[in-house]
Amino acid sequence: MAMEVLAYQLQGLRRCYEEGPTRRAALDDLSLAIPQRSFMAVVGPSGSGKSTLLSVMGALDRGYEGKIEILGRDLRGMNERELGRLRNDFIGFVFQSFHLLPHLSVLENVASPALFAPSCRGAEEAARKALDRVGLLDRANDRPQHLSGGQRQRVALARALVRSPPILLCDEPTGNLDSRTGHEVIDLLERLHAEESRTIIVVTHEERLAQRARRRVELVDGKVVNDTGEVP
Amino acid sequence: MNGAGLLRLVSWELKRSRGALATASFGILAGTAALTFFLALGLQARAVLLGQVFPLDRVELEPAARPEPGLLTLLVGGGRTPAGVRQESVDRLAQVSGVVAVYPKLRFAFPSGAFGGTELIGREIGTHEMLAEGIDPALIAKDVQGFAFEDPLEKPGKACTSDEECEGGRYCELPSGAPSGVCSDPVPVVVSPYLVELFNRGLAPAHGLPPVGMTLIQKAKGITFRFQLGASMMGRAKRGTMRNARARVVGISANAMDLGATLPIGVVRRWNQEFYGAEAAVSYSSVVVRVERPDKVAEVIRQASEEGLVPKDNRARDVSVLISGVMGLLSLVAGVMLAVASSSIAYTFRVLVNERRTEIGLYRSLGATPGDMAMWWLTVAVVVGGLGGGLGVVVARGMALGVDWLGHEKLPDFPFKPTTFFQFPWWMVGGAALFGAGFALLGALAGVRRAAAMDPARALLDP
Repeated sequence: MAMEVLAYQLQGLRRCYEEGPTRRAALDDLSLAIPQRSFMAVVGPSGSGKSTLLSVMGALDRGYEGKIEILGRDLRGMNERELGRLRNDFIGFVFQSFHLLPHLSVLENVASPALFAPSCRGAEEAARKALDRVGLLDRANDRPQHLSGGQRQRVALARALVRSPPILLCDEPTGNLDSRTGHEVIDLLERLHAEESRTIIVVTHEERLAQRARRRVELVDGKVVNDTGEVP
Repeated sequence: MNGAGLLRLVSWELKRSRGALATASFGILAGTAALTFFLALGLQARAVLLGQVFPLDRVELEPAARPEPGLLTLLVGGGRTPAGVRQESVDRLAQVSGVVAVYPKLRFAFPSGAFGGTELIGREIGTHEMLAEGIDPALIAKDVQGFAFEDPLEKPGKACTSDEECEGGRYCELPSGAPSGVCSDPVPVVVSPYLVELFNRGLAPAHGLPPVGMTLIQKAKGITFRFQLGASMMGRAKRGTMRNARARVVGISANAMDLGATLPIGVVRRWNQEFYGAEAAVSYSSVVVRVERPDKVAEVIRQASEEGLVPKDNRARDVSVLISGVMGLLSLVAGVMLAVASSSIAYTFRVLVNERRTEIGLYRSLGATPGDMAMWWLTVAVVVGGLGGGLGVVVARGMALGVDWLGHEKLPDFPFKPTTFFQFPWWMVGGAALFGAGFALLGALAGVRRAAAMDPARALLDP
């Protein structure tokens, strides 16, 4: 039986930043294998390298050493155009600050990944479906600033889902939400994982969210100090 | 990024930042308007001055002035024969690089007068001292329509001894001392626009005559008058008998002599031989050399000096230099305005790109490349610059219409007053808009580079 391609294969990953005369390693010889359909939480104290890991895994940061494969594709040989295509096709991002564009309607925000796809055709229809999935189709024509925090994060989630990417990277998705709306978002993520078999990787401080993940990876000083592995 | 995506990004940005971009592009508008206005003015000034007053694609060469003959020379009868341009010199000039054609000219070498005008203004007017020259018909062929500009004797005619024997407006061309002549069509004559202007502004008011407008001149085509050959107020020709020849105005040409009548060179050659002698018929008084481009004139003048010929008139060159200098200076002012506008664009784009930092990071996370981000801002710059430039052209056109109106309503008539003071060729209109876009692009470059080089991870995760 053929081995299934991993969602992520990280080997000897190292990312350093210049801080005055010294170099600080935000990721230090980090290796991880993440199968497809995983629901993984990355936890750790501030400055442990969680956000750096997310940007490297999202192909946004190219200043690393080591090897990253996303769904079997080695990022090292890719140019900016190929990386852009990879992000557009395979990765959906959800940010703590939502990063919704205030000058666009909810529908336009959700459809925005289509701007960078080979074609915009069908984008609006896909955006409506994605909004329906997060329960906000009735707010399609509103501006994001007229929505609550939880609703905004659901819009951001719809935007991440609109191109049906197999991987979802979430950076503190409940960090700006109150307890109730935070739970709503966590429920939504869990449902997406269960029903649509996406690989979901969540960077979080929140224990309640980390506990809902099937796998928990703890970072300290850029190293993995604890990895629970996939818990059924 | 797909084309529709780019269009949307650009239109959103134009809508969101319309105030800042409009302010930034105002300089582009003003600079382009000034540039277009000055260029259009300069082009028309050049066209009028160099096309009608001092044509620059040609140079007229004549023998260098000889030294004063001195009393003794005059006493023995020397110094009277005018220096001429020999046919060999004409042939050599025709071989110079860049020369398109050489047209010889031959002045009347004898006194003459001209009288006529009854058909045009109701009474005969004239001058007892008429200057005239013969010209190669090819030089003014395009200015003479509906009539032949050639020596009438090239066509066969009936023998005659007086005008009464000739019919159909013909006259008897009877050379001095000849027993009989030939019935000939009137000699075709062209006059210069300068002469028309001089008549209208100077002679007509002084003599209570109506000004001769271009329409009237057009009507006057075909009007005949008579040349009085061999005598003038100053005296008689050294040989031949005074007689009349009929002439007909067949056109107005900038290539005609400024003050006088211009005839086919064959006619002048015959008459010079009759009233002066053979020597006045074998050489030319000057030659007009037409060149491919104005920059070839200098080489022609250099070669001509080896033939003992000098330019008859340097005004064209002087005017050209003056116009180029003034246009250059005004364009420089407009260029400075555009450069200032460019720096304003640079500042605006830097601020806008900084404001869009997170947005750029977001777009990168959604799949945009640095090139996509650069293309977004470049397109915004081109649209802003192009619109500013385009509006600048419209403003310049409006200003030109205003100046033209003022010129017509408030300025008195003056020689060669054009119907418009401006020329807006399509290449200048398009070029000005492109120029505006180019300066906007130049100004935006730093912002564009900043947008392309922005680290998306920092922009998104470390805002």
